Formats: sequence, structure tokens, C-alpha cells
Amino acid sequence: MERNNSPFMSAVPELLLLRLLANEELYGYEIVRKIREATGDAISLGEGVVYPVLHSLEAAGALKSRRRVVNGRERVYYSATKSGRTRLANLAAHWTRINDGIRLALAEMTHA
Amino acid sequence: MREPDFHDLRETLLRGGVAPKHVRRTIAELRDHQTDLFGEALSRGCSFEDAEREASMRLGDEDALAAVVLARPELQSWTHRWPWIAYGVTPTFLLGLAFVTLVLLLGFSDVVRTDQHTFSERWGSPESVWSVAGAVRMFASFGLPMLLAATCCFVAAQRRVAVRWPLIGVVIASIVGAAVQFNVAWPQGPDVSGALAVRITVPPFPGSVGAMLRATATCALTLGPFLWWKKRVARA
Repeated sequence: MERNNSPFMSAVPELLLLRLLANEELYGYEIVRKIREATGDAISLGEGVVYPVLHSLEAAGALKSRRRVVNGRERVYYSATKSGRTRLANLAAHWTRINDGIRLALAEMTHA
Repeated sequence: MREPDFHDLRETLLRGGVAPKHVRRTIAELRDHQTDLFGEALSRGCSFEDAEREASMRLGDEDALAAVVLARPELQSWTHRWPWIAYGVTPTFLLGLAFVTLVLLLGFSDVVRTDQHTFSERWGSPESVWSVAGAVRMFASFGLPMLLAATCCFVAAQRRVAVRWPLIGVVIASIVGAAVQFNVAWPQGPDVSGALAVRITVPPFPGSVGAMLRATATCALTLGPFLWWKKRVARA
């Protein structure tokens, strides 16, 4: 898939990360793998791109992290905070409105 | 797998003002991620070289990664956002605070108020007393400004900051340090208390060659190694 860095798309990684981390604690590699599975490879990011987004969300208080040693390797696990879940609800509502708007517009164009 | 060092990425991020703690963490996580990708490719039957190539490709190229991090101002250090505060205001404030703390500590410690008899009992022979007084004076007038100027250089080096900012910090620390003259007079006898004297002179310190020398030495001893290090890094 072609990578898109437009401002319109810039909230997508944030939305996906918050959705994934709302219910479970994951580390970077797992997060990217789950995004690929959940979106059926429709959204493919350069995998390293998730880290700045994770760090920003953590700085904003939407995520929290902790270090855990698993199989002898230390990993940073992330999970959503209460404020992160609120942010997710707002973002999801916003994207649903956009999605509905685009669907309507496409439907009108088809009928025209 | 050859351990990726992400040297260019680290340098780009630090020069772009990203806070060193975010740079360290990002690189550590990218390294771990690349190792996971490499292991995944190997487990699918890829050759060593193919697995390495695939891991690098999937992680994304360093320029793209740098662009994504640099696009997030919240990851930048405060010293990058407000260099005037970091290298101009902070050294002045910290130096002032250190002087005030030192005066209060000495003033309230009862040392200069005790008479010579009790003072000697506490500190030993008069020689050691004078050496303590000399050390305090030396620390206040030379050690503190030097420590602060060196910290400015260290912070700037760690963050790959343009030379002008640590230069400003060092000059301010040197001038403020030299402008404040700190004197400790220890008790001279049973009825003669000691005294603390703090005198502030204004640059260019008329009649005080010592202050001029102290300011120059502080600048030379901190900026010298810093500039030498910058030159060495630029050549490497």
C-alpha cells in the first residue's frame, strides 16, 4: 500500500494504537503485528513509526508504559490510561462522522 | 545479526532538538524491534542475509523515521525550545541560588559565631581552620562558576547544540561568578566572632585582577575542552 503522510491520515496511527492498547498491554513489535492483522494489511506503516507515536501518547498521558523482562529480554509494554480511553472514544466518534460523510458523498456521486 | 547502531538517526534526532531520553529510548526500542523482525524472517526460512535485509526494510529507512520523530514537538527537549532560558537565565539563577545557600548554611551553622576556643575544638588546629576557610572561598569564587559553566557545556554537547548557546552560558557563569566575591573570616578569639562577607562588583571588575583572571580561567577551562570535543566529533 502507498504510504500517506497527509495531515488527514496523521491521526490514524494514534487511533489504531489507542484501540489496541485500550484492552491489553503490548510491546512495539506485537502492536505492529496486531495492527497488520486487524486491518488486513490495508494499513502498513514503516514499523519503526509506531515508537514516536507511542512516546507522544505517553507524554500526553494517554498511555502508560512499564518495563518487563520476557524470555531474558527487557521490553517496554504499553497500555491505555483512563484519559487514553476517553481520547479513543473522541477520536473514534470523529472518524465515524468522517466515514459516514464520505459514504454519503460517494453514494450521491454514484446516483448522480 | 549485526547489531544496528542507528548512529545517523541518533545524530539527526539530537541535532533536531529531540530530548536525549526520547532518543535513547527510541533507538533501544527500534533495535529490539529489528531483532524481532530478523528472528521472524529466519523462522520463515529466510537466509541470514535476506532476514537482515527484510528486517531493515520493514522497520523503515532512517530518514523517514527521523522525519516522523522530528514532526512531534512534544518530544523535543525544553532546552531546545527555550535556549535563552536554558543557557542564559538558568546559570544566573542557579549561581545566585548556590551563593545564597552557601551563605545561609555558613551563617546558620554557628561556625563563624563560635569563639576560637570552641572553633578549634571542632575543626582541629588553626592551620586546618585556615585551609577550611580557603577551601570554602575557593569553592564559592571558582568551583561553583566552573561547575556551572562545565554543566552548560555538557548539556550542550549531549544535545548537539550550536556553539553560541553554551558560549553564552559559560560567559554568564564566568562573569557572575567573578562578580561575586566571597569572604569568610573565621573567629579570631574568645570575644571576636568571625564574619561572612559577600561583595558584588560590576564587570570589567576595576581594581580586581583576581576577578578578571577567574572569569578568564573559567571560560578557558570549560570552553576549551568543549570546542576541542566539537572539532573532534566534526572530523569523525
